[in-house]
Amino acid sequence: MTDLLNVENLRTVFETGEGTVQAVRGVSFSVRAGEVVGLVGESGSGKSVTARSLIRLIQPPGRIAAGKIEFDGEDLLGKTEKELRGIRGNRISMIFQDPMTSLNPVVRVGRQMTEVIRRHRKLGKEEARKTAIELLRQVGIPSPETRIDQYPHEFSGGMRQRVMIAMALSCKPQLLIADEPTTALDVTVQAQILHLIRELKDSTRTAVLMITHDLGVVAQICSRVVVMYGGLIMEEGPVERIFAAPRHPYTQGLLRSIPRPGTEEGKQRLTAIEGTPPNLADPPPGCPFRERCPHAMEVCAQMPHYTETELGHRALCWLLDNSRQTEASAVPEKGARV
Amino acid sequence: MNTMRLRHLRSQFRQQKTGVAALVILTVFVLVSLFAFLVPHDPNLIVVMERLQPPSAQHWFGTDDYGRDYLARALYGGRVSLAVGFLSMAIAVCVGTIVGTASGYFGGWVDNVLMRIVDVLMSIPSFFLMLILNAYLKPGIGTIILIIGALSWMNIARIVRAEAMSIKQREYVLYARVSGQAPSRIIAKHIIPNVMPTIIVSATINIASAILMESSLSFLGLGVKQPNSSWGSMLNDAQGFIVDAPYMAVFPGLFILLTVLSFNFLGDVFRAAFEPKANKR
Amino acid sequence: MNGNIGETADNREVLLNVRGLKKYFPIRGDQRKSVVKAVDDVSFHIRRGETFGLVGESGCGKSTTGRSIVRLHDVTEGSIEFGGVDVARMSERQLKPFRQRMQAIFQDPYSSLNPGMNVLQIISEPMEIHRFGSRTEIRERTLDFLERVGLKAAHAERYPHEFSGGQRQRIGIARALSVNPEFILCDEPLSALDVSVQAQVVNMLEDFQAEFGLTYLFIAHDLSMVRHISDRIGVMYKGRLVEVAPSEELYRNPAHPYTRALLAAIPVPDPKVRQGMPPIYSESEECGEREEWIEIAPEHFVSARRDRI
Repeated sequence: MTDLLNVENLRTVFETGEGTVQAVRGVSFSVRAGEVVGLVGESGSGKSVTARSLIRLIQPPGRIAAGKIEFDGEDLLGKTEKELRGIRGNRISMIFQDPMTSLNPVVRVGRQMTEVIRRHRKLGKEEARKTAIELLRQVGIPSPETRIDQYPHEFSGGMRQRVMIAMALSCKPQLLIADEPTTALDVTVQAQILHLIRELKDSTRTAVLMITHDLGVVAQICSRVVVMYGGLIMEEGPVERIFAAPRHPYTQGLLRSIPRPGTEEGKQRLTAIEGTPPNLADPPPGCPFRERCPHAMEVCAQMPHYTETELGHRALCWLLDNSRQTEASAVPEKGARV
Repeated sequence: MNTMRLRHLRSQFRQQKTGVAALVILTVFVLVSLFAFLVPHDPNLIVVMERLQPPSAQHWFGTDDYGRDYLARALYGGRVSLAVGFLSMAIAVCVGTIVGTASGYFGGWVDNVLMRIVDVLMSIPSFFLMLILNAYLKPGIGTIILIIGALSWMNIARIVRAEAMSIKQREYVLYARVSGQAPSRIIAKHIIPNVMPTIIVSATINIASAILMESSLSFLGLGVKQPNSSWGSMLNDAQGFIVDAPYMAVFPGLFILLTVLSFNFLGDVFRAAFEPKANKR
Repeated sequence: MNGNIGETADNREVLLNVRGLKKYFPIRGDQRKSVVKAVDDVSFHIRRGETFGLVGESGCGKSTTGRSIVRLHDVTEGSIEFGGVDVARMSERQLKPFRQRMQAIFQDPYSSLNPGMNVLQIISEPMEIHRFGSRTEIRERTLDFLERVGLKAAHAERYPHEFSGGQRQRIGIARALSVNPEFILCDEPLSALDVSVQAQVVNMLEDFQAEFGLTYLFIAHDLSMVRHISDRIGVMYKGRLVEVAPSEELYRNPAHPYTRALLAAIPVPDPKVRQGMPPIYSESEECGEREEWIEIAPEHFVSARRDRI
């Protein structure tokens, strides 16, 4: 399978009063057609900035300082703003965390949808409306014929997120970027939305980049996982391998810090990762996880290399690096590809 | 005011040069009117021989129709105008803050009663009310300050009330209540310090409008009485000589304009620095 | 197994006993004086040293229940017995001693600390209210608690904005603990924190519970963390308590259809267990009015119609 999206050595910085914040410090990964990739990290890990950089939604004082973003063979960073508008919302769609603020409260849902549909597809008013109703039905909104003429406040949070998904899918995008789409929703609604995304992926072959902090969501919906920390990718691999045999101490810590319901001794003490994430205005040299890492060594003050431990599974850690593998691994600046 | 807010304020001043200019102008005005006695002329000394002299080396701002040194009068007049501005603002801020926080924090019938009073006061044109009050009360600067202060706190009260209502929902206020803190202390320690930025912004705007109001009253001959002067009364006196001695209107007019503009610019800087979005997280 | 839980728990004294709690909010500007029944006839008890979890989705009334118990709200009806004394109708003056015995930790570490006060002032505030000695004594106690929650004495002069979310939540915990409470309301204390930091806070709460014999009412929507920390759990739906059970029992044998729907919806952090479409619970299945509170196993209560059990 070929790569639909290919990101190489992406760097995004924010100029603030306190100096330059390096939110994304050289990130490389790819998304293949029809797969769901999870981009996991805590707040400040750079996962959301990475997602927004992909469709160049970074506003000053932020800017993309370096890197290459290739989408379906086209270089997105070289495009003009006008060319990008033809791609955004059309071939790449995005849904956000808060469905309450993503819709214009004073415009009927139907009109907001038909506007998007007609911007990207040459359809008459009536046809666009029919398409919109069909989409609403597809995302599981009951009696879409009447719902389409209602205002956003007449929809519940979950229903609004469905509308957002319907709008995002209206132009049959090749890639859907979902930035914490279920974080603001109740757990039962979240389950329905996740189910919906999974079904749509199967029926439309849309690739999904799922940004989340919830490892449960990742396990349920993703086929591959990219773990970010301190603006860098710490580990990347197939979801089964990441959960069964995490190679990076950060991923290991993250998985240990969530309660595992399956275990009989449910009252076991959680293993927390002590400390706090690094300040990206002044990131420490070397591995960003060094100060919280139980295995930290002297060499960790230098930036480690990516080591591919098995096919498609790589991690940024000195522990995995032995002399034999040093030559094989590449420095992150060059964007080790897998 | 904590260090974070000071830092935001400093960076705003660095960005907005008009703010710096406003601060300089106001400082100069305040200092100059404080040290007005250094001017070698008596503002009230009438020298009939020297009446209506244009600006010269001896009388920098010229003289008025009684031959009084106009510079000295302008400086002493500035004292009155600025004092009226600051003191009536202080009254308005105190009343407005107390009413606004009480209304916003307690809500219910307290809020209802206080806000109806505000509504009533705001529905009467305050300038009109001032004219009437002024007719019944003993004229003088003190009266003017009291009247302006008493009639300009309503806007502050409304803004403070809205802010207090939102701060009341913050969890540190909930915690203070759970830990058994008395309402008076919650208001003093948790509500007012966090409404302070809003209060400062409205206070700067309030000074400006108080100075304008005093000028208008004096311009109508209802404010400061002869031989004392304020910028407004000087403008009033200049009316008759607008053709012969235009400088008599220009100087006080310019000072009023600069002061009011400066306070407004200062208000903008404060607002930008304290804007919750600018310093969130 | 079930019997065991009941026996060990029974030995402990009931610290908090909530009976028939109702909290109705009037709808503003409504002429017919209709109300929102945020909490409708909720009864449960918490034993000393126990953690009682209260779960449910947004708007189910779990937070209103918690806040009514610490009397941030005036309750509409019902009793709240704390240590055998009903505090439901007490005036603020009568409540004062209880304000020291019942403390609270809130959700948003960004809004739970006054941004204009430094850490020393924040933590010493409740001690000043409840007269915990002289200035220097309070200061020493503050520094002691700062270190207990893993911060340094040097942090005392700093302001909240200089701390991360997890550190702020620790400051909030230190503040609540400083007055020797018996009971702490934990109102969604984890939901604003990162995964790795959540575990730190949970461990800390458990350690302090063991050390001081604290009793927690733990309100959350993250069901896996609630299961981990709670001894017993109550499930709320639309202002009503639909099920109460020891936590393992609840997860193993959920009886109420809403509980089942809720538990089935938790995403399992294991890619080998792929969940299907969760069951959707709609209220029409059950008729709240005709339901009774039935004990189906020791300590396991469910709101159901007797003919359906």
